[in-house]
Amino acid sequence: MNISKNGKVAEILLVEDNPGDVRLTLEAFKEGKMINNLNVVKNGVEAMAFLQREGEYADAPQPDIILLDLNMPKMDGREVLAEIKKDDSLKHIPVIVLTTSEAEQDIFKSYDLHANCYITKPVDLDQFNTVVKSIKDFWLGVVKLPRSE
Amino acid sequence: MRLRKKTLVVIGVISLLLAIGLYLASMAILLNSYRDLEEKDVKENVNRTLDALKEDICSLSSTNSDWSKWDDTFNFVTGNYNEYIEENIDYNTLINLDINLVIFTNSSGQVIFGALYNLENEEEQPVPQSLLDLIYQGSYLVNHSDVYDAISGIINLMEGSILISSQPILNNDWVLPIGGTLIFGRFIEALKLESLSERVHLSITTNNYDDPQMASDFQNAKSKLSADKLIAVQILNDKSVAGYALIEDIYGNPALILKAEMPRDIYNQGVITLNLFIIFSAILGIIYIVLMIYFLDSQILSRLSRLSNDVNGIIKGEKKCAKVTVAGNDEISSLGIEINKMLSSQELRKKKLESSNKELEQFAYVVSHDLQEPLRMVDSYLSLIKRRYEGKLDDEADEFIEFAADGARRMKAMINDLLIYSRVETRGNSFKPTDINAIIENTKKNLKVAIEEKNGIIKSEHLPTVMADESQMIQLFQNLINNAIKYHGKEQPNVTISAKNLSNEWLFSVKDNGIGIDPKHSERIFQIFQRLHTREEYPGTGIGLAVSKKIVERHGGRIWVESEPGMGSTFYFTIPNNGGVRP
Repeated sequence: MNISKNGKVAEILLVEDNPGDVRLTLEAFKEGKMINNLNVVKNGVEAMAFLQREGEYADAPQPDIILLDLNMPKMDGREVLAEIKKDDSLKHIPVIVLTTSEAEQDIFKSYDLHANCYITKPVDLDQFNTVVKSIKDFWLGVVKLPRSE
Repeated sequence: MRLRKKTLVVIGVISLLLAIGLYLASMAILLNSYRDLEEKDVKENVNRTLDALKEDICSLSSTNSDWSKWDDTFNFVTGNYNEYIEENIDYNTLINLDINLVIFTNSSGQVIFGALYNLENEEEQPVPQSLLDLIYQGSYLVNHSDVYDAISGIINLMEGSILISSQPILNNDWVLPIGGTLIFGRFIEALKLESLSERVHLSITTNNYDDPQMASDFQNAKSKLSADKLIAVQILNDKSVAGYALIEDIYGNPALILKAEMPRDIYNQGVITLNLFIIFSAILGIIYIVLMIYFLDSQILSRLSRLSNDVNGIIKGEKKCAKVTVAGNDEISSLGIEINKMLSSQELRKKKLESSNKELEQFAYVVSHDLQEPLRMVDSYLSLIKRRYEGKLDDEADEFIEFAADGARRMKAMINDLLIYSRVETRGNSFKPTDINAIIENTKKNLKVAIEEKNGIIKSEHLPTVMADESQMIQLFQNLINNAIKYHGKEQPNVTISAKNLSNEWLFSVKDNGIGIDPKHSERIFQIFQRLHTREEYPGTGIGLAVSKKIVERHGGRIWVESEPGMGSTFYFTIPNNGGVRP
């Protein structure tokens, strides 16, 4: 078992309302060898609670990266993105928008709100696995992230 | 502007015709009446002259009556008073009586005394023999039987025409027997005519009726005159007119033609009046035309052209507000109001169309995101099941999984096609000059694998450059050429692309030697997801021709196919020269 480069288990926050997608992502993450902890919340409200350690998430770790879906009930991904990038204690965390949308306006809007990258979920399972693997390799392997407390 | 010019020409031509018509009509009517009036005036003047002449004859008669009913005269002709001539008749007497001829005969018609005085040179001359020849016993001139008998009138002699009066000579008591005949006469010579002219204020001349050398105007008049028509009028020239009267002698034979010449005052006054009338009419006409044109221009033509400019501006999109200017309260302004109504209803329709286009875009969005999401779940988990459980369940389960996976794959393909179809309208690029030769080269590159696999031949003549969406042109030709190769017959696929310049559009054709299409399906093949073959025979979803049709229609053109089964197909489509109505 490997741990991330700074010696800690990488904390990943997945914001995704569809349990099917959550499971697929979990399965894809399982396939790699890197140890990481995938935290899952089902909507934007829960995501903000997790990040701000409110309520049941009082002991939640601060994630190293956030995987964010755009279309969700209650508070959607765009609002979450805007909140994170406004918050001085959160805005350093890379946000990877992972969504089914290919719409130009979604892509533009996401980068406009300072998303760190935008990825469209491939329909094909093998391609999806490849994408998840490359996210892990890049963001948890190649990229230097700021040290979290 | 053309209507304005037309109106000006029409008004101009009508006015000119009216002016000519008015001129001719007034010439015909007015000048004719002036001529009639002139003729009447001339006839009246001739009658006045004839009356003056008759007066002369009457006064001659009454003078004769004074002298012939007198005892002295009676005694002279019966031989009882031989000093009578010496005592009574001399030159001055005759001058006073305004006569220059006097003849006394006895009751047997024998001339007892005759004398002729020339009033011009005041000399006595013999009585002309031609007159004496008319005087003998029983001749008309001296044959009086009653006391009231009297002959007066004109006689033509070789020496000239003479006014004559002949009456029986009686005593003072006017009782029979008749002593003889007294004849008084007055030659009609220059002096006589002069006095006549002075009395009637006209220039009077006469001509002997039988004169072979009479002037041509007299000859013309003579041919017009007869016993039934005693007066004729002739125009001599622009300035003068003359009336001619036929005068008979005492025997009732034509003797003299009298001519009364006068200036054409009435006619010339008429011509002046007519000219003034024409000039006045012309001035009025010009004023009328100018006012008419001004009114037409300000009230109708300029407003119409402004209306037309407004509509043009709206069509070209230069005018921001899609309304025409309405002023006044008449047919033109109500036309403007109607046009505005039409424009606003069109605007409404346009908005509806825009909103339905937006709905279509929304539909595409729904398809691309929301419909793909569950499909991805189905497909992904089918893949997961297959990966983890293939061979671990029974054979039937594997087969079922394969069917489900195939269904999901096809669904994916159809959703993709639907997206492509809806994006023809929503994601189209603007039209630019597009060289179709380059498009064909591009298409050939894209289809390289399929063409080489089937050993296909793609031929094209020199093709034009048209206003079009370049990527959609590639899509269009790619669909058509791909179909031509895909539905090949037994021979190697042979595709010919050509273009023909029609008046305002290009007609393209893509001809192949493939399996062909039954003409009854020639409409159906352009509908979305319509297929004529099973997937096992020819793969595909049936979107290619539907997309092609949509692309051609976006460019303002039409697409159709001409084909027979087994005889190959030719697909035709048109691209307007301006690249369709939308930019």
